[in-house]
Amino acid sequence: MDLKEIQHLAELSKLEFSKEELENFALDFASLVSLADKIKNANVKSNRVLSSIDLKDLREDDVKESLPTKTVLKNAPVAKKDSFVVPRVVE
Amino acid sequence: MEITKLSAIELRDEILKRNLSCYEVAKAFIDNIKKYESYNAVLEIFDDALQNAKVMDKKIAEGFNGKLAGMPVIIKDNILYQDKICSCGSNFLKNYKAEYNSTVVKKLIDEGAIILGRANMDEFAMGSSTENSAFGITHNPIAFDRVPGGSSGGSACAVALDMCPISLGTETGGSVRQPASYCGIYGLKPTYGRISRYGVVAFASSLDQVGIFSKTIEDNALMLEVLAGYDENDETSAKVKVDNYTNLDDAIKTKIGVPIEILNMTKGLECEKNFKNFIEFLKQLNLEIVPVSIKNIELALATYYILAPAEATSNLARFDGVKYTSRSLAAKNLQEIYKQSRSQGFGKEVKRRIMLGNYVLSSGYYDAYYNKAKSVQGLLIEQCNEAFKKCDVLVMPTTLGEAYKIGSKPSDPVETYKEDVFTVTANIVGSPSLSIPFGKGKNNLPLGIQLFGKKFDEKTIYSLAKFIQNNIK
Amino acid sequence: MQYDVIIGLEVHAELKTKSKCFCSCKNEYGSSPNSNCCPVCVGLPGALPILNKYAVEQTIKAGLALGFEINKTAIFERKNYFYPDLAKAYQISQLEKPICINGHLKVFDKQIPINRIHLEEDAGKLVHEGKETFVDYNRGGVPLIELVTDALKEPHMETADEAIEFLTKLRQIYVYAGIADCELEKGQMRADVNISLKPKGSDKYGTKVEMKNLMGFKSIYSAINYEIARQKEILDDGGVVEQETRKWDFDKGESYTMRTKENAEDYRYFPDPDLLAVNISNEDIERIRKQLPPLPDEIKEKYITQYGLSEYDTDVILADKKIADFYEECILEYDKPKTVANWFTTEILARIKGGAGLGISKENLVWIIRAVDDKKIQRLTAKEFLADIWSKNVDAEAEAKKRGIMADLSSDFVFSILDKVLQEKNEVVTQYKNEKDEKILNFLVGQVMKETKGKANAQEVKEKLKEKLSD
Repeated sequence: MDLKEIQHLAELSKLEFSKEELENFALDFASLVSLADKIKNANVKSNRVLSSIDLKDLREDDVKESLPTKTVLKNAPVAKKDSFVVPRVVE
Repeated sequence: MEITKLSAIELRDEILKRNLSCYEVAKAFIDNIKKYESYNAVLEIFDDALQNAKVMDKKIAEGFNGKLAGMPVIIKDNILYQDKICSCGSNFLKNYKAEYNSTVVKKLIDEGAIILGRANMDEFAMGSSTENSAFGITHNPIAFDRVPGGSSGGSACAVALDMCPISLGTETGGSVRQPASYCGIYGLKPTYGRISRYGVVAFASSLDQVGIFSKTIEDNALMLEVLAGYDENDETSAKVKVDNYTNLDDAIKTKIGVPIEILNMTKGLECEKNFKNFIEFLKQLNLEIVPVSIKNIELALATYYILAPAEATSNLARFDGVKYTSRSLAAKNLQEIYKQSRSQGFGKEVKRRIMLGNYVLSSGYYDAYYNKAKSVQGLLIEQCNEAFKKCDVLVMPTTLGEAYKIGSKPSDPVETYKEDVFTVTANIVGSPSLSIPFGKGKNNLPLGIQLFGKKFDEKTIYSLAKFIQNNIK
Repeated sequence: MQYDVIIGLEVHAELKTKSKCFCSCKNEYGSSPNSNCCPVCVGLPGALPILNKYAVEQTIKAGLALGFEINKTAIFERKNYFYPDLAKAYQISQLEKPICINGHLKVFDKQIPINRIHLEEDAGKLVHEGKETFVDYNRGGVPLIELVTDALKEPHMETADEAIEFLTKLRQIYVYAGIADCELEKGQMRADVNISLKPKGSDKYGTKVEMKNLMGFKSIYSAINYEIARQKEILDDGGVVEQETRKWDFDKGESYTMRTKENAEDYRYFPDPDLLAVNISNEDIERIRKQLPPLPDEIKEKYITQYGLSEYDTDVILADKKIADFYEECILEYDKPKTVANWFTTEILARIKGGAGLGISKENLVWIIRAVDDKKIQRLTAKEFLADIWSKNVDAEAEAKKRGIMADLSSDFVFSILDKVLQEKNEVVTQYKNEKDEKILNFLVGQVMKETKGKANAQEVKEKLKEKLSD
């Protein structure tokens, strides 16, 4: 796998790496992908197993108490006006 | 009597008879936590534990008789206990205090348990050695220079060193059974859906289960009885009746299945001889042994290392520096908040798996990896169902061998992932599996054997384990 | 050059439910920030989604109202992307097995094919102020249905008018079926539009351009026309339309590029392992079908054939479900659909135009209409009276009596006035007797009416006068 592809995965992951880290990752990835490829190349056929629930058994549409706003924001790195705050999102 | 050597059930009974107070019990175990501090099994002793024990003494005096009355318990650091830090072994959550109680903690408290503290773990439960914790390595309770296993290494070490009679860990691919094996104790991964996952920080949602460490089978069964059952807060928890696990059956008629593929896979490994000894031992107990086949079991490891990272990548995306994790101070805009917070917050192994997860899910690769892995999962379920037509319990080794030395694994991550080769199948097919201590390795360190059961049939594996426990001595 | 225009719509509507889609927090608009939130809404560690049965039923209802097939198994997937309004960094949505597949909606004379309706969760709300963006997760997890038209099948929507008609009818159906309130200003209904052009008659589809951030039908109308013109110009100049997502700027009346194909997101959809697939049985579907109330087309038919209303009056009354419901209630009280409809299309609708609520009770309105029909009140007087008591909490009958506006022709009072007028206008009376001119008679009626302050029934006064003057 080339560095450009690793860089793309880093972007999807919202992670930053130094050039050295990226190169190390490329090495790791070669090994990881060869493990994953074992099933890619396996000649097996089977249906995906799906756990399911009948419509009638789903949760009823009843309201329960929410958390206090104070609790919701308890661990927020930045909170103001009862809201989480981030730098202005440029649209 | 030495309090910390008593089993959970013995303790509970002494407490209810008021021969022991919850306070003195909690105190004795906390003293042990402090005594073995150098093992780094416990990240924090909760400052209200002794106070809670005092309150419990009062309640017991007033007639409370919960199943865990006064029982000291340690929980893995990824199980939410309201207002307590839950860091998942990560710098990212080192100051995160739970807003709410997990269902398992609620059940512990309702039955009278005293939660003493939180145990060290591999960051976000990713690892097999507890070397991946942001808060230091946990040491093997028997050999200090070796790993205790992981990711629930802290919880396993705590039980083995008598810091508590029972502890909770979590499993995704062997994170309870493998450290149980390395620490010489019992470790159960229940059937998927047996215990609610609500309030347990997710790694791979379709594989995760809370697991139980104990020094005796009866203690393990008691804890499962408390924790098991449907929870309206977890759609994947099962509406299957909870057995009375403490009233175990006679196991003499249990049919034991030995997967022939496992015999091949163990060739040349340290566990090979011990596994053969175990089968001999079962024969001597007059248990019926039948060969079975799980033809594609060799694909389980690759399947696991596709499904688990895929789910993890999505589950860990919420840690983004916006709502509750720490935020990079240098970040000036939203993208920097995401990237810098996550890059500083997550450790190397977690990043590796997030990247791998994105790889197998990304456009162009999804069908070849994720979808294929889901069909292999279906196939393994079919093959296990077939095997269980011939037997009641499957047996296999828990680990390749004894606990290895700290820092001894090569840098290639796959070499470490291979540690999970015997454990991941139970997670992939959703079966319960119990690691029981059996035999020793070349350095006289403990080894473990898995009793792998039919779904929701923990009772049969407990019964068999008890039968074995009674006959080992 | 001549082009075929193909317009596709993606319409989001927030479902009417008590609780959210995946937790039991209130589904409520306008609460203070982060007050309807639980661990699930904020995506706290360890939180798990629990699907709301009624949200699925509402989605099925929408499907049945639009002639969809209902999938026997519905699957929920995670759509992964980072944005501050998305607490978990993924949206629970549906990709492979949506609840509803293959429906249609009649727009003018075309049956427009619809590909799917799926159920998903809404995102939170972002408020931008100065250098900061404030995040409120109250809306996060509100059940949302997304309808996607099928641009690969004929016939297509080709004009902005058709698109608006589609949206208007869809909104009406959702509202009548009780599926969604669709209040546009609350963002309860939102639409993305995609447009492609191809040379007239060509089999090959053109490049699709998607437009987002369309608030309200006016924006949608303008944006469609703008985009058709933009693409025409490019193609006429021999250029190539780029595949992209454009954003509509309402104030400027133009759109600009938001995202090109190169930086398109990779959402990495996969089945949400926290949720089970949902089995929907035929019994479920039939049970829900029975709950479906009459829909606009059906009601329209009834109004025209049974009630004898004009198509215009029907449309006017049905345009607002609250009015239509009120109309039906009034008819139950007073079985004169046409008469009542006239009052609605003239008096009632005029008064509630511009957003004012209904200012009269069913009892009062029916009493007034009946009183006019029974000739107890003059029509004009009644209209003024209706205006007077609008938005006032009074009993119409008592108030009318108090004001003395009810007709009482047999009373001495009216006769005395009649006599008084005849006496005072002696000359006119003589003139009438000579000429028998209708205009003169009407003048006299007017005089009487003036004296009675409108209480009398003009027609009856006229007859009485005629009677008297023919002696």
